[in-house]
Amino acid sequence: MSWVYLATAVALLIGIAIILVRAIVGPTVYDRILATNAIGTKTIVFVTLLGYISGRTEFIDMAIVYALVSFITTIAILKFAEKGRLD
Amino acid sequence: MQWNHIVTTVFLALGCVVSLTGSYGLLRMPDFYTRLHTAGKTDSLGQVLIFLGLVFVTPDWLTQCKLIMVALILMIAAPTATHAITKAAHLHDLRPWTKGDPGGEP
Amino acid sequence: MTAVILIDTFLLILVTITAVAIIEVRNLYASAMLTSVYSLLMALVWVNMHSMDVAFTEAAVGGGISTILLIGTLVHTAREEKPQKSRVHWKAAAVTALCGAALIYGTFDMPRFGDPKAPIHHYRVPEMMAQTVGFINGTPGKQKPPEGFDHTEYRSFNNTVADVPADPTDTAWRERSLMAQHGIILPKVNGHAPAHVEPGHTHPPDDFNGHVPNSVTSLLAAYRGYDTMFETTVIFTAGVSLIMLLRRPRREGYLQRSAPLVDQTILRVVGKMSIPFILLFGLYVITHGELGPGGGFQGGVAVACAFILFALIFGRPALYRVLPPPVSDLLTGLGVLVYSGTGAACLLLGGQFLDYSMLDLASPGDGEALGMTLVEYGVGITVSMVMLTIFNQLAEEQST
Repeated sequence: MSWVYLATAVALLIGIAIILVRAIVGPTVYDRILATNAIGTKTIVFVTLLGYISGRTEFIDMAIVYALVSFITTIAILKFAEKGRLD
Repeated sequence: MQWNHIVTTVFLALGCVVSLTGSYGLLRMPDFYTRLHTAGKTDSLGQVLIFLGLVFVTPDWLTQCKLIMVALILMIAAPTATHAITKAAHLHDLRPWTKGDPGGEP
Repeated sequence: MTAVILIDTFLLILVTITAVAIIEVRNLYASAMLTSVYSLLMALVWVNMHSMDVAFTEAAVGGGISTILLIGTLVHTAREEKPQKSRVHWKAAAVTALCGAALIYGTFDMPRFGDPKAPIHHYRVPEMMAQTVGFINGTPGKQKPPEGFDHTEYRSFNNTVADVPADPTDTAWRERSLMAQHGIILPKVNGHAPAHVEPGHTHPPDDFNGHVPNSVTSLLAAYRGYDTMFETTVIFTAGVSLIMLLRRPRREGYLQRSAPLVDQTILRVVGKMSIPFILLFGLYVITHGELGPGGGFQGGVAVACAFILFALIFGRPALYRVLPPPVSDLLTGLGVLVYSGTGAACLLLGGQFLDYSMLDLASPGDGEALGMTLVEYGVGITVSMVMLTIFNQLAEEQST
């Protein structure tokens, strides 16, 4: 069963690498915001899968907290892009 | 192979395919709005599939509840973030690309 | 090549690419977002090494709060870096290369990645494992005990356990004798001479660990309790210095020009729904830090993020009505007070400073666990309020 987790983790890593290209190249700033958000979501899934690969299931707490924190970061970035201030 | 292993493998494979397709689309699409379409949708769907697949393999019920909770949180938060990005881009007069316009590079 | 090393190499390549991109990209906004990506990838590297608390802190602080604060500094500065003629400064490059080479040469002496004969697995960690749960090679709580094993009897420190050991350097003798009665034999580890024991106090002289399964938290809060106390003081000092440098006296109408996002319905509703959940989960992470990954720092960051979300959506005037600056300033100091107060309480109860076993004389291990919970709350309060203070100071439109 662990090779299934490993294959999924490798696929997610390849996905992260592809999105990283868009984060570096992306002509407009919204491309970069989109890429950062997508990398965040894939990181959450990757962390959970690494927990299953190593046999410890406590990693899910980190996934929950990071999901909430990345949502807030995206809102902050967008507020700055839209209004120019962080108030 | 027990039945829950087979179900988990199917879900994980579907989630992987969806995520990889979305990432590749993010790289190749010509315009911001099309990229948003691929990345935003496939992201939300892929992670829900993967987390639901992992539910069948977990031994204890507390971790199963937490997995479902993460999937629900991401299902609410990721489309909201995508909506907020689109609205910000639209309010800043970013117009969609039509065929024949210059600069629609992948 | 095991899978761990492959994933590690791939992640480190991505980290290098991102680091180069942060320097080369001239748009400062893009650099801030690439910094968030860098923190995420580093968190994945730590997760790959199974160090969950470090990964947790890196993801929450680096990927979350740091990015928000970097965007906050972008409010006060330009969006693009001025173009510079790329001229290599040869002396600086030579010094940097020499330092890097010296560091790499220094790593040749360290144990290999995942080596079971590394010194860290031999000095303190087996003792700690023996003191907490005691199962051989046990990830605490994850291995099933043998049949007929009674947890409550194992965890109760009554004095009828066994006689005093012959070897004074054997510091885990209570657990070892009780487990020997049940037929579980642990490998003998080398302890060191116990410190002075008060007469009448049945506390095993070196049992700093208590009944806390998460060894990282017990190391931080009990074995190196002084370090963590001064770290909390450093965070508090950072908040105080930011207040001293950036806070301007109130003048008429200074909070009127804020730009809340209340007109965006979806964002407002989703944000309102998630704020109590994030607060509750932050509290859970602080409290659960003894039993799994987490602790005061990570939970404090989550609580701060909830308040920051409130400020982003409803504006800073609304945040100041909910949590006025005098209250948040007071709470930054309160956390450090809770931490040192716990230490002082242990002092007043007859032990040494930060010797938490004094809090529960009947069962010193549970006293240690109680002391660690209290100090984690102190750390959580200070960290959350300082992060909120930094965000407030950076979000004011006009600074000095």
